Formats: sequence, C-alpha cells, structure tokens
Amino acid sequence: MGQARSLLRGAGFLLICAAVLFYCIGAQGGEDLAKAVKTPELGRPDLVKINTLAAYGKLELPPVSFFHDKHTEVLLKEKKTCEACHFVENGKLSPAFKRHEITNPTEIKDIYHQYCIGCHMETAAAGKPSGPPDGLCRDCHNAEAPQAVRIDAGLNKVLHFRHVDSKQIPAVAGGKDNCASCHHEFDKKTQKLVYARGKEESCRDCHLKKAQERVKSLEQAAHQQCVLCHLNLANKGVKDTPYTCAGCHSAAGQVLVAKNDQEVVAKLPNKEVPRLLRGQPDAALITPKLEDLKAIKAGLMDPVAFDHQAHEKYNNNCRVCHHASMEACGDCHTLGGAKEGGMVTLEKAMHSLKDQPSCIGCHRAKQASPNCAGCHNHISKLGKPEDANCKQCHIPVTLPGAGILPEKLANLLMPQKTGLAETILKSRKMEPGTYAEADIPDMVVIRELLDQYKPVEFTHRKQVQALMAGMQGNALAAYFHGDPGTMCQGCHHYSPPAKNPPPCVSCHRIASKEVREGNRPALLAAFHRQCMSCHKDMKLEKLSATACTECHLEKKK
Amino acid sequence: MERRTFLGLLGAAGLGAALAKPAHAAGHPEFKGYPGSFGVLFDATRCIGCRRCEAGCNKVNELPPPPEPFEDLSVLNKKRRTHWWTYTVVNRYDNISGAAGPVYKKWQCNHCLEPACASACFVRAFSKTPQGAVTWDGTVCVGCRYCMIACPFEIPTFEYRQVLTPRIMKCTLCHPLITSGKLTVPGCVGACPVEALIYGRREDLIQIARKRLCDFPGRYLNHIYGEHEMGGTNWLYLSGVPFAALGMREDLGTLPAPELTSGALAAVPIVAAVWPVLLTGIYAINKRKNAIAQEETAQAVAKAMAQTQAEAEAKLKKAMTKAEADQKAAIQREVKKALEEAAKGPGQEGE
Amino acid sequence: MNTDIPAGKKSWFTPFNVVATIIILIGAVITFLRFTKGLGGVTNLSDNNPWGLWIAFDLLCGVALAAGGYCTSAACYVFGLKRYHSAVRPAILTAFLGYSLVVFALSYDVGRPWRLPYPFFVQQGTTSVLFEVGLCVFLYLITLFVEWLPSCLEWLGFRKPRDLIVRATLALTIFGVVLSTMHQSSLGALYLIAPSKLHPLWYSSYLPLFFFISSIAAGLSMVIFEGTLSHYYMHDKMDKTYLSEHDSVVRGFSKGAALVLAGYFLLKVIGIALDDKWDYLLTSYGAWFLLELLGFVALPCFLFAIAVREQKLKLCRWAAVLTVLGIVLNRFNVSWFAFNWQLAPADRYFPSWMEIAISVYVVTIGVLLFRFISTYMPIFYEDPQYREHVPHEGEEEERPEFVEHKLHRHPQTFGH
Repeated sequence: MGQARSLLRGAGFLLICAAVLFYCIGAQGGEDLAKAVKTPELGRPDLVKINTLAAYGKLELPPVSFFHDKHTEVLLKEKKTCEACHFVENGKLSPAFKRHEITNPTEIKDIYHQYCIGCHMETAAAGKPSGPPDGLCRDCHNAEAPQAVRIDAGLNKVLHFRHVDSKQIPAVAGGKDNCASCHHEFDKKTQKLVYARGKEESCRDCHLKKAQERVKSLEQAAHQQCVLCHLNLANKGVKDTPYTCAGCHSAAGQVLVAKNDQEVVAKLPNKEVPRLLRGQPDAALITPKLEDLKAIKAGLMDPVAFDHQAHEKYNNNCRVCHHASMEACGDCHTLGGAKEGGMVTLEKAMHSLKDQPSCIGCHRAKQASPNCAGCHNHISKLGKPEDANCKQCHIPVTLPGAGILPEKLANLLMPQKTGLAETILKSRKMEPGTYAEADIPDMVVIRELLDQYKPVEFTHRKQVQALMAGMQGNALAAYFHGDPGTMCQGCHHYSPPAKNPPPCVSCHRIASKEVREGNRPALLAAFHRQCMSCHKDMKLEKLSATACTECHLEKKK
Repeated sequence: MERRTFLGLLGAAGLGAALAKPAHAAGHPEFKGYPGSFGVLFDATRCIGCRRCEAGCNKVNELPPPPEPFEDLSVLNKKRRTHWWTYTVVNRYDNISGAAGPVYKKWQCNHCLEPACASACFVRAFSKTPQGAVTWDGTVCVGCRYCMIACPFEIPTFEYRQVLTPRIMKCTLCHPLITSGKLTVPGCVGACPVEALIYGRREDLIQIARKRLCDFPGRYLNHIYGEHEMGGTNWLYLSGVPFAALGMREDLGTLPAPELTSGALAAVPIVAAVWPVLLTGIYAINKRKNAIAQEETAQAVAKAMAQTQAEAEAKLKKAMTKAEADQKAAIQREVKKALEEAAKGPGQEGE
Repeated sequence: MNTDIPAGKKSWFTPFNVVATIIILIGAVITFLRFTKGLGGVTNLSDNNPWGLWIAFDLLCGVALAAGGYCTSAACYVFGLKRYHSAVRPAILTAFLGYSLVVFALSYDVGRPWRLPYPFFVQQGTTSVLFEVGLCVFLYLITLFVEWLPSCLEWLGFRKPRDLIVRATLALTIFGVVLSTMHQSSLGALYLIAPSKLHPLWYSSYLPLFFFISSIAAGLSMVIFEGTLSHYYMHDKMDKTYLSEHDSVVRGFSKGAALVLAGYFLLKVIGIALDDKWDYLLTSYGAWFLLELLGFVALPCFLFAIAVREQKLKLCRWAAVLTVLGIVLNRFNVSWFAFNWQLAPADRYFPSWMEIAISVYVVTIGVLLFRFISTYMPIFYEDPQYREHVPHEGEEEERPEFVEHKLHRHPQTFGH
C-alpha cells in the first residue's frame, strides 16, 4: 500500500507541477520555447574573432571575441600607441599581436594569455574597469558574441581626390603628385615594390580577400597603409582621419565620410571632382583584340564608339567597369572567351543584362529609376533585340581606302582609334527627340467603355512634355530617345514609331468579359494598367490606383 | 465448430483479401484534372485592392449587402476571412520586405483538382465538375461541417444562424451562372478593372503564367501557387513576394487530400473480412479448450470415482471376509461351548 | 446524502433528483433555443471552429467511453472468460445508452438533424471517413439495442424472442467487435484529412490505431468505474453472482488495462519517433503532450500493474478514473486544444455555457436512464426464470438471492 500511495502522491504533485507549467508557458500565447527567435544584437564593426590557432588543428574553445576599438580607446586615453600591442616590422605595423613570426601554437597561445590577461589584471589592480580576468575563460572565448557587422570601406572618386589633393600626403621626391605614396607594383626583377607611373591600379587588383604568397590580404594592406598614417595625423590634430574600426567600417563612420565628401565637392569649381588622369583615352573604339581576328575570316559587328570621358562622370569609381584591372575590356574578354576573362566572351561582357560592368546591364539598372521606370518596367527585358537597337551603338566606320571592314579597324593603333571614336561621338545628337508641339494632341478624351464614369480627359501633351523634361540632363535617355517616335513607344507600343500611332482599340478589344488569348489585356485593363503601373513606378503617390474619380468623374445616376 | 468449417472460412477470408483491388478509396495519384476545365489566374502584382471583385461576386450571387460598402477601403486595415455573406475577400499586406508598397490578395475557394471537402462529405454533397468548379448540393447536406474541418484553405462557411436551412456557403466559380449562359466569366473576374484575374482553361492559364514569369523575372516569384499544392487547384496565383507573406500556407504539400484518408479507409474491408474469422477462431479455440478441459475433468472425476469405488469394494470385501470369519469363529465357539455344555449337562442330570 | 432510510418509504426529492430535474429543465430550454435560433444562437462555433464541445465530448468521448460494451462481451463470449459474465449486461447497457446519447447529441450539433439518415439511404459519400463512422455507429447502435433487448424482454416476460436473441449472442458480439474496431479507429481517422490544422505531436498517420487502442483501455476502465459507482448507488439491485464476480472483474480488467495502456504508450512513442517530432516536446504544447502521455497513460498503467500485483482494488478504481480522464483529455486534445493550433489566440474556440449545459444534460439523461433500466430490468441480477445455459466456471447452480441489506451507504466511497 505504501508504494502505491507514494506513487499517487507523486502523481498528484506531478499533475500540479504540469498544470502550473502549462499555465505559465501557455500564458505566453503558445509560443514555442525551442523555436523562440532571439533578436540578433546589432553587430559591432570592431569585433575581431581571434582564431589564430585554428590553422594548427581543432580549437578547444571558441575563438576569442575581441573588440578592438574598446581597447584602442583605453590605450589612447593613456597616450599609448599601437606599439603597445603591435610590433613594427620594416617600418610597418605588424598585424600580429606582440610577436614576430612565430609558428609554435603553444607559444602563440601563451603570448595571448600572458599579455591579454596580464594587462587586464594590471588594469583591474589599478582600480580601473577592465576585461575578464584569469579563470573566466568563456568570457573571452565567447561563442555567442554577435557577428561583426563591417561596412566595406573603400575609396571612391571623391575620397581618392581628397587624398590626392591633401597637403598631408607629401609629393614623393622628384614628383609633383603624391601617387607614389600609396600606389606601387611588384618588380619581379628587383623583387621590390616600385612605383610605376601610368600603371596605377586599384588596391584590390593585387591585394585579394585572402593573403597570397608574399602578397598581403586587402585587409592587412589597407590597414597598414591607411590606419597608421591616419593615427599620426590625428595625433597632430588633423581632423577627419579615422583610425578606429568604427571610424571607417560603421554606418555612422560612413555617413561622416560621405558628409565630408559632399563638403569638399561643394567647394570645387563645377561641383565636380577633377578628372583622374592615368593616360586613359577620352573616347575609345571598342573592337575585338587583334589576335582574335586571325581566326575569323569575315562578319564582325561594327565597332562601338565609347565616350570614356563622359562615363567617368557617371560612376564614382573606376572599378564599376574595370572590375579586375584597368586594362581594356577586350584584353581579357576575347571574342571566344579566354581564361583571363573567366571564359566570359566579349559579347557577354558588353551585353549581359544582370551585371553592372556590362554596358547593357548598367543601362538597364538606370532604367529602374522613377523617371524611367514608368515605361521601362513593363517592357519585357527578354524580348528579341531589334536591329534598330544594335545600330544605336554599333556604328559602321568608313576608313579611307579600306571601306568599312571592322576587321581592319582592329589593326589600327590606339591614337587612330581614339580619333575615329571622337569623330563618331561628335556627330551624335544628344537631345531627346519628339514631334512638333502642334503634332502632339493636347487633350485626349477617352470615350470608350462609358459605364459608371464619365469620359477621361487626358492631358496628353502635358504628360509628354513632363516626360521630356524628365530626360533633361540625362545623356543616356537623350541619346537613346533621339528619334522622335521612340519615346511615344512607352505607351504606343507594339507598333512602329509614327506620328499617328494606331488607337488602343485596334489591338485591345473592348469586350473584357470574354476569355482572352495570351497576356494581351482587353481595353479596360489595358487603359487601367498602362496608367496605373506608370504612376506607381514613377512614384506618383497622389494618383492612387483606387482614387477613381481623380481620372474620371462619376456619372450622376 | 468443425475444423473443416473453420479452415474453409479462413481460406475464404484470405481469398477475399487477396482479390481486393489496391485501395484507392478516393485519391488517384495520376489525376491531373479534367482536361479543358476552367480556372482563374490571380496576379498579386496587378491587384490594386479596389474590392470590385467582392462587389461583383456579391451582385451576381445575390448575396446580402455587407455592413460596410465595397468602396470603403478601410476594411482592408484588418484581415478578413470568408463568411456566409461573402464568398471572397481581399486582404492587404503591408511592410513586406522586397515590396515597394502594400500587396493585395483575393481569397476564395480554390476549386482543388481533388477537393478535401468532396472527399470528406459523407453524403457526397460536393462534386468536382468537369468544368472545374467544385459545387455544393444543398438537397442532401446534413450540416455536419466536416468539410470545414477538411478544407486546408479554411474556405467553407456555414449559416449558423439559420435553423431549418443552414447552408454551406462558398465560391462556386459561378458555375450555375456560366453553364446557364447568364455569365461568360465569373462575377469577380468580370468586375476586375485591371485584369488581375483572368478566366480560362487551366492548361492555358498555366502557360500564360509561365510566360509572365519568363518575361518579367524580376517582378515575380518563380512559382505558380496552386499548380501542385494539395494536388493542384483550379485557382492559380502569381506573386512578387513570398506567398507566406500573403497569408497563404506554403506547408500544405502536394499530396491531394483524399490520399490522406484513403489508407485508413482501405483498412475497413480488411477488418470486416478478417476480424470475424479471427474472433470466431478464438472463440472456437477457447471452446475446444474448455471442452477438452471439461473432458479431462470428467475423466479425472470418473477415474477418481472408480478408484474410490474399487477401494470401497476391496474394503467391503475385506470386512465381509473378516465378518464371515468372525462369524464362523463365533459359531465354532458357540458350538464348542454348546458341546461343552452338552457334555457337562447329561452328567448332571443322570441319577 | 440520506443515511438509514426505513425500507418501504422512498422520497422522490433526493438531492440528486432535484439537481437532475433542474438540469433537464435547463436542457429543455436550451433545446428550444437551439431549434429556434439555430446553432449560432446557442454555441460559440464559428467558420474557423466548426466543431466544438459537442463533437469533442459528446461524440468522441461518448463513443470512446462506451467501448466497455464490446470489450466486456468479447472477453466473456469470444475469449471465453466466463467469470466476467455478470459484467456484460451493465457494460452493454452503458454502451447502448452511450451510443444512443451520441446520436441524440449529434441531433443538436448537426445543421439538419432530420437528414442524419441521408448518408445511408439517400446518397452515400463512400470516400468519407465520416460515412464509415456513421454507418458503423448506426449498425452498432442496432447491435447494442438487440444485445440489450433480452433484459427488457425478460422484464416484459417475452420468452421466445428473448431466447432467440440470446442464441445469437456470439454472432452479435463478433459483429459488435468488428463494428467497434472500425468506428473507433475511424473517429481518429477523421482528423487525418487535416494535417495542417492538427498539432504535429497529435497528428500521425497512426491516429486510427491510437484511437482504437485507447478505446479498449477506456472501455475496460469505464466498466470498472461504472461498476464502482453502481456499487455505491445500486447495491440493492445486485445479486450474489454479480457481487462475487465483481472483484474478479476489477482485477482482470485492471490487468488488461495495464497491458493495453503499456502498448498504447509504446505506440505513441513510436509515432513521435517515426516522424522525428522530438523537438516539439520542448515547446509548451510538448509539455501538455507529455502531461497527457506520462500522467494519464503511463501513470495509470503503472498504478494498474501495482494494484493488481498487490491486490489493491481501491487503487484499481483510482487508476480507472485516471484512465477515463486521460481518454477524455486525449479526445479533447485532438479535436479542440491541439486543433487549429495555427490560429491566432483570438480566433480560438471556447464553448458557450449553453454548450456545456447541453453536454451535462445529455450525461444526466444517460445517468437517469441507466438508473431506471437497471432498477427495473435484470441488469445487475439474473432473473431466475431465465437462467443462462452456460454454466459458471466451477460454480454450482444455486438460487440467486439478493443479499438483504439495509439501505445504508458505505462510509468509504471506493472501497469494498
């Protein structure tokens, strides 16, 4: 009896526990404990995960979550420099902590423990707030610290100019500019870093994400080049020289940099950064590489005249197009594809719809801006390209004595090509075209489908003029809409450009209650979607799709 | 029961079970829908949330006027579901990442290829018409509401306030109106001012949907909702944002609803065939066991009785013999005594 | 409660009768409301929650707890355990009343109750699990009625029909077990069609099997429970045979229940393991599931086992109560608590007071009918005129006598 009684008692107790548990947990609204989503803490840019020993085998404890800025703040307050932790090698700060080349894992571990924990203990002994002391291993080896959130901090045109223009970066001896203070390349013969004028590249072209043999990683190179210099300048009292992690890699830091950029630009004549001169042509004639042509007998596309100078203005750094190096596109992207170009052919490199470095890709991306999106969002991107479109860029070039054979153009030298390109570019009309005002109907009254509402009084000419105004100052729009009928095609689509385009009812049936073929809407939906989608894509919020009477008044019953 | 009979029954049951066809009580894995059946394609990137579809449905089905007029778009501030007075609702979804503004979704019966409601109804009040619509027959409905349990999209509604004629109310794809010629497209489709809804053959709608996905890949999510969900539906959806963000369940799977219960239903005839045999067998075995036990008991009793009888007889015989012997001895003794008496007697009497 | 009532003088105004009458009156009023205002005027059912307390309790629990009928008659007639013979009639009566009340309660819940025969006679929806439930319940109700009829006929004195039915006992029992297996499992199969609405810990393709096995445990426990209650309230109607067999019934059924509950527990664990649902156990629903499984399946299993081994009949009875509560909890979980778990809390269902009142009313009717029938008809005793031809195990024929008792209540509730 005793056994059963105690069992019953236990059961009763369990029941009460379970009821309380259920109530407490259930009171949360039935939320799953196991699946509760923890809101991620906003990561700090200065979080460095020290996992040096991972290269030597499986880690016993998680990597150390080290907040660099926290430490530099304290050190700077005590007027200590980076050398408190980083040795100087060859005049540059070593990124390693308190050591030169050491490969023994035990030694490395000991160094970290001795100096990190040692410093913490000292600071604590002095009565100041300090980091985790000895014994609290997982306070440092913290697996749950939030991820580092670092904004990529690179140079753009303006920031680069600020460095070029800066008096704090002196001109290298014998020169009038200070390019050599940062730009270098590796001379294989002398096995040294030298400066080569006219061959400056972006840092990222050699310094990749991971360190290569004898080539530092981008992170190491950039930090060594930039941070120490900035720190020295800051100590001298120069403003706006960030040296902490957050100073460049946090959102706030970037905002400050952008602000300073704007201030600098505002003070410049023409409100524009002066052109970065590296010997680039003002105009380029894009043709395939000479070697490629040996295999091809005939039948190349006409070359493309490319306004390099103008395009420099449209992008804020060279890498948007010159994504790997400053060479010409055709050097790596050959007609048939080459290993240096990642097997991407010249055609794909120029016409790829998705990638920014490609011509068409970039132009497509520009079509998404509100001024353009109204028409361009509902033009299918994947339709077959028309011949007329190709001819906008591929212009036949006449050579004296050689006719217009594109194959011959590749044999020309650069200055000749440039000259030809400049000629073509000069002859271009860079104004958006439209018909004479008298030819554009002013008010179009849409009387079809009168039912619940009165006719729509559509201010046609005003809309056309507004669209034209939207293209002002936009060379891309101006060039491609040079033909007067082109812009009308945004609404008067699926018919050849003409002064009198066919009325909508010629293709969009009035009867909308029938089963229809394909994607072509009947008249009611054609009208509605044409107007509403444009208003939505051009972000004209006042003309809401459900504000029916904004467009047509209601008929009084 | 005789052994012969028992074995015969067992054989019959086995034969019965073996002859049974594979059990597909309701779902057929290969059913791709009636060819040429009609459906509707809804494009969430076109819908502007004007609610004219709700008004159109209300008008053609002669439903009662709602508490708020259809022009009142503030009802979209709350999520609604279908009820007996509204076969379809439009809901607005705000703050979806990746969407420029609010996205609207129209919700109504999806007219599944293999409807859960039709499978669940125990009076076959629902039928999947070859034209595509799933219709409800009010002449047999008992009002048990199992269809409402079964529908994964939570569509059928019930007139709880009706006493004598409570109906199940749901979208009919305007089947009676279209077949009678009163309409050529469902009321909602005809009312939509932007052709967010189009009506046509399911095969054609899928082709049209695929073409839209092809032509404008950046605009749409690469999925036609309803192509395969719950085995496929006649109402298809395209969207530019994840369907889950529009309150549409993405965890329903592609198994049609009847397949979920066909396994359990298939077991029924097996139980009906095998259980009687099994139970009769157990009974027979038990009975036989009891009979044997009884027989053995009777035998044991008889044996015991016989033994006792024999013992008693032996005892009796022994006693009898002894009694006889005693008697003989007694007689002898008496005779002897008498003789002695007799011998003594005459002596005394002779003078 | 009244103690010593002088024999021969019974008052109608016992507290139980008064309360029961009030419940019946309230029920009658709500019935009127139900059939004038419709379901919407009486229940909290909605389009999101079409099935409520009446299905969860009156249908699902009602059918599960009436399983004692087929279990007991199968034990006695099919498995030949004659010592349970006296428990058969009360179990059959409980089952018969149970199923009748299920149909009675359905007539409240269903929209057009006069159409309830439609699935059988007008148009058959054979793809529906509910059709199978309905058909089996309908046939089983008839079977139970026929199985109960002899006691009524004995009371009325119709010998020939009574003998006829009694001769068919085996066939009726087997038929009853077949039908019960099918509809008990099909009640579980009802929910197979809604995997998106039932919480994964309760949804399983083995739902039919779970419902069937748990119904056996429910039936066995209900016989013990009902027997205990009847002992307390209907003692004077019990004959010597019943009384002497009663303990053996409790012991034997406890043994059976322990085994069945152990098997059921194992099946449930297999159900979790097969679909890898272990993670759900760490949620609040998981805690509730563990409560049901450990507190109301594993625990009574242990209690039954211990009680049988240590011959503690009182513990058997408590274990039976726990099992019955566990079955009710399981049916509630599947049809209500874990159903529509994906809905927002504001859209979840809770019954209105009228729904609860009708459920209480239905149970009260059942209790009243049970009391009436077992008072006047040979349920707890054998009418000496209609001696069963099947001899009792090891017992001689003897004239059943009612043990003379003064009508005084035992001080202990579940002791004997």
